[in-house]
Amino acid sequence: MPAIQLRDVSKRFGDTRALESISFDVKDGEYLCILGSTGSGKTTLLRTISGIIKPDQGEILYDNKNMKDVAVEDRNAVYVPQTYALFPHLTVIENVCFGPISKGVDLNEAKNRALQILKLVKLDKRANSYPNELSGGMQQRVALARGIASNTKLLLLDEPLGALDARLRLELRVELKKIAQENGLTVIHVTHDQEEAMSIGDRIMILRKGRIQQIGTPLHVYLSPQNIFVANFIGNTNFIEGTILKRNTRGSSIRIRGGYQIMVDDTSHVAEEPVVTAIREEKIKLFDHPIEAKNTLSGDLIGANFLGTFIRYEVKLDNGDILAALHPPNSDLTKLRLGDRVAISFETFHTKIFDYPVLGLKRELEAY
Amino acid sequence: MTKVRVVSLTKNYGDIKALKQVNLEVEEREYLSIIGPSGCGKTTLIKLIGGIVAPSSGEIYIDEQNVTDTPIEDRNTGYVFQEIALFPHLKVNENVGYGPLVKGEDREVNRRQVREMLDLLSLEDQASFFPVELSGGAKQKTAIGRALASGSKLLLLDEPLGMLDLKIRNELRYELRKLVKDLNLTAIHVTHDQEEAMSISDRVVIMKAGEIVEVGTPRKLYIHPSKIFTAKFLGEANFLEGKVEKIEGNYYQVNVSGNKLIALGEGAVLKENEKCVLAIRPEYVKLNKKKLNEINTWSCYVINVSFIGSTILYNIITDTGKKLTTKYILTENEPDISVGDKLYATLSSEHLLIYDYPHEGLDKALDLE
Amino acid sequence: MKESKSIGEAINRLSGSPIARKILYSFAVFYLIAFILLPPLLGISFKLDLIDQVFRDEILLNRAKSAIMWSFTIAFIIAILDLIAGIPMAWIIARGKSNLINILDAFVDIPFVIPTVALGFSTLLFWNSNYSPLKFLGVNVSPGFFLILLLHFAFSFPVIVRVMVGELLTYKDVYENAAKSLGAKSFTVARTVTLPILKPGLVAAFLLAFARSLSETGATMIVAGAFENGPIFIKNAKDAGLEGPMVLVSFILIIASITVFGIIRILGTKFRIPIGNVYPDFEALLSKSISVKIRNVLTITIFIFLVFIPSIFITSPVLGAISDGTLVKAISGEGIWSSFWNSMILSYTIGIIATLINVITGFPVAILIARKRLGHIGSILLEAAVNVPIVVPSVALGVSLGFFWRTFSFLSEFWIIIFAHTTITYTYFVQAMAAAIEGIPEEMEETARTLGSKALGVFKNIIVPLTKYSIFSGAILMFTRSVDETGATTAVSQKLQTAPVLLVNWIKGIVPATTSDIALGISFLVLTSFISLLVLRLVVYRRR
Repeated sequence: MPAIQLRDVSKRFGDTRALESISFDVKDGEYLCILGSTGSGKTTLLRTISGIIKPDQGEILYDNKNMKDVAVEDRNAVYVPQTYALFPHLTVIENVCFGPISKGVDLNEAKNRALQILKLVKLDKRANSYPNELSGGMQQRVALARGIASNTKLLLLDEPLGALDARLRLELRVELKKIAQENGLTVIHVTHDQEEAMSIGDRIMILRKGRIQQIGTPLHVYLSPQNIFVANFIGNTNFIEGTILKRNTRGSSIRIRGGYQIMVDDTSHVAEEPVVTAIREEKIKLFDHPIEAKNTLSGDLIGANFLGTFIRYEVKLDNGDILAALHPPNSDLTKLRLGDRVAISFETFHTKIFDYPVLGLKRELEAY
Repeated sequence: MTKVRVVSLTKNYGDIKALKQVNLEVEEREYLSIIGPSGCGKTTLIKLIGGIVAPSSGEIYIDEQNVTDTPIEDRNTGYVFQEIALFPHLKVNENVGYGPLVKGEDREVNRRQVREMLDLLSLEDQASFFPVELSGGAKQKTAIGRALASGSKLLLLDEPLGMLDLKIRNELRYELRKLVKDLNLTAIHVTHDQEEAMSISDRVVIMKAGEIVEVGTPRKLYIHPSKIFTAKFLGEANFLEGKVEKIEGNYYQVNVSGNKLIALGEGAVLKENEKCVLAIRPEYVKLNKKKLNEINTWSCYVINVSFIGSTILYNIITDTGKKLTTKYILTENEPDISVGDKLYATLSSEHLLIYDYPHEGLDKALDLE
Repeated sequence: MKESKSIGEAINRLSGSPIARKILYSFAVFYLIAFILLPPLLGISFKLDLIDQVFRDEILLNRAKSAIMWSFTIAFIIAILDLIAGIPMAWIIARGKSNLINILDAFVDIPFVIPTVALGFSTLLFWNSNYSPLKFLGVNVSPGFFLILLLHFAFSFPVIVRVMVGELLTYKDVYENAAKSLGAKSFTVARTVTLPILKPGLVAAFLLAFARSLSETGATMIVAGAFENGPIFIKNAKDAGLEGPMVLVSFILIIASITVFGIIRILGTKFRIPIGNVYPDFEALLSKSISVKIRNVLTITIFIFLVFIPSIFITSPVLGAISDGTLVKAISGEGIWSSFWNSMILSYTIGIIATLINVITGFPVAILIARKRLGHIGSILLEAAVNVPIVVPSVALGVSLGFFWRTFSFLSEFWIIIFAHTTITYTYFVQAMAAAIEGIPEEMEETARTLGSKALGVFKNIIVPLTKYSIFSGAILMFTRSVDETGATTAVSQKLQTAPVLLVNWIKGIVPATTSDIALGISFLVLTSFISLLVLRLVVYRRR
């Protein structure tokens, strides 16, 4: 029954600060997704929790017990790397038995239990195959079964779906969550796929350059991103640069490029402060005719990309800014052609205001 | 004009039939994507077009010239590899200039071509970097630049964005389409990412087990897929087995475990009393607190809610025990629905797709591996 | 049974302790430093005071100078020539599709399996026989400089081919496809993409061929005649009882070769293979299938006449040995043959013991290198230390090792030879094992540990099964190297004679032996090497 706690964990590799002062808790039975780009430190963090990497500083606790002097093999935390690391010289069932046998469990007993678990992941018919005879999805399930068989309650998954086709990934992420829940596992799952993280994580944690940016439920992080980086990384977001013009008790007005004005309901910034306004792409409404409303801007349609659930329209506003809007494909906007004049508008309460970043907006959106 | 035409193209690897009698035409200046699960033959097809692999039988035409026996180096295609495969011993500008160099291009001309290409891809600052010093996105851009600098009008892209982080992938895909359109190129793009394929292509080819399942515009394939596998692979869908009870014009009345569903089956050829499969995209199943409608409406309970940004997925179970996924699009504020709520689900008639019951069985027909 | 299980468990548990692992690794590194690295370096320094006798004798000094100069000149010429002849051969083997390639592949290794003494004798016989292509042209090749070149070309050839075949097989052909899709013809691709990317392999192949030529003694002394390169000078000095010159030349060879290797290693990474201009028409001509055919025929002809036949020519007098009764004499152990069989037993005993010692002490070092456990710089130093024995010319190594181990008066000559052989063969095993372990993703080990496996369990259940083939082939390589070793053994041994040393005495006429005797003796040595190779291979395949 592991609850995991990290207290001020740091790790450097030479001059690179891979992890900086990482502190967070994972509750027993929780499914936590760690989200970050290549080089964000997410794999290092996972390996540090498993004990493969020793932190330079800080403490890692499993059920309130400090793991400092506990060897990797005694932590009972199973690490599943992105490549799954199935043992190529062992059959599926031998792979699944590896953990129990290493811990001195009787061979027959181990085999019986392994078969049960293979049934659970629907691979009992492939028990005597070798890993290279299995498809990617099957290999992923063997890795999972191998972890469960070792009697662990803590799974550390590094991009468990990363090696699979995009379509299969959608299918298997649901299954992954199900298996974890049914076996009462605590899972820490590392990924760079925001949708994957949001759809299966009880909570998600966003990591950038070895620092935690935010941690919370998907809904919370989506609705209240703590900074520009998170707002960009989670969801699809437009950013508009501007300066606060006026503010009153109900909101503020902002002057954006080209002298245009928009209204937002943020009141935390004072006049003349440079700010960035964030608006989700799906919250921007697009019109094929001029309209009269608050927060309306006009421009030319420069892109229309069909995504299935949505069509993503790109509009070059008259002030030169480019905004994107997501619309369901059944709307009457489908007659629009590239180059057509369009109007966009958005609600004041769908905006979020951030301080203008010291190093500029572009730099702030980069992962590194 | 047709840019690429493959006729009855077949490729066997020993006993494995990677490609079975495939016919395909790609128009000049078209952006065509080929998608399908791993092992469907999409990579084999593009390798055959590029000349990297020789076909077992069939013909390939580029610009109406039969190139079936033309070696790769004489096909003049710009090929971008999944592995990116930048020459590690050459700098960015040398990689991009490799094509002109081996064709014996004058040094001055070469230098100019390279400079133009780097400008176009905004890689000027990294011209003298070695590939190991580049980020994933810059590597990919260099590979595209290298393929284009040789002057080819046909770009073959074999999972070009597969090695990149999702966020960068999504940005680069739009740049890629823009580049192809601006330079009047023809592009054939292989991917396993359905959203990538739909978002940038004029037409999409769906493949399965060495054969083409369906070809069409992204919109057609997503909204009116003719084949059940297309409905499965491109986007998500709920599938329901049933039996045709009555046919009135284009409307089919289908019995799904005792419940009646009406589906608009344009172009479907089913007879009464035949087994069939209904499919519906999650976003066309609407949830309501009250029963607003009698037709196609089931009472249900919410069993799971997952929030994924622009949309929310609700997993529901109907009174008759059917599990469905529904998708709510968050153009407004999020609705007040939570696990355990009793609701009514309406399956929109014009979005209910109807198919023959597959002879190989439903599971097999929808298998992704 | 029960007790052994609990002991096993105790060891298993112990392997989980970082301290126990540290002790094990420290022991292996200590062994490397104390038994492999220091003896060849220290041994010679014990006797450095002897060298001023050389400086008093100008004739001797000049002989020494020219011998050293010739050693490096020959090694350089040979490495270049073999690179030119070996790369196309590697290309044929790695890329060819015909079944005949397998036979060619096996034949390439022939000069490698034949004991160097036999190789020398075979070369001598061939180039003076009526079959010699040069004799056909009316040229007689007498022992000396030119015959040394021919010999060295033959035995360094397989080294280049092996390394380059390995490189070509692991090389991703996507680079070639990329180049071709940009319009490059196959010759252009090889010149501008494949070879530049394989540069580390080329440098390694060059160095190995260079080292082989620099170091070889056993075969060279048979074809050298009055000519002297470094190792022959040392051998002659030893025979004449001149310790001073022997020490001086050994010392210079050791220092110079370590320096040269260091320089090439460092420059090798810096230097870029220039690409220059491309001449599409000319290069297209070279890429045509007829040009490729001509090149292939040329390559194989060179291999057959300069490498293959000269190496196996030794087998021709064996037929005579069967009919003239030498075979009966040999089997019954008459006359000189009784000492031959004793030497064979001695050679095999030494081979087995040296191999076992190296497997045990080398394995942990291979792990340390493959897993970079000592950090970046530590791993580089460790690798350099492991490479010292093959960089140093074997006879110089032998001289130095002899001096070093004889200072421990309690050691019998038998053990001194064993220690010398462990030093000579150590590198081969550790390098092969380190490469094999590097091939196992480290994640595999880490995952096994998170599943609850202690270090010993990981070693036993993951590393050993996955590197089984390399362990066996590494052991075979060491064993045959030990049995065939001539140069260093000559320098170390005093009374004991291993089989190659004995055969040298037969060939040189120190012990009166007929050509039939010599040919048969060599055939026995080759045959037993072959059989042991075959048996071990069968074991490996069955266990798989």
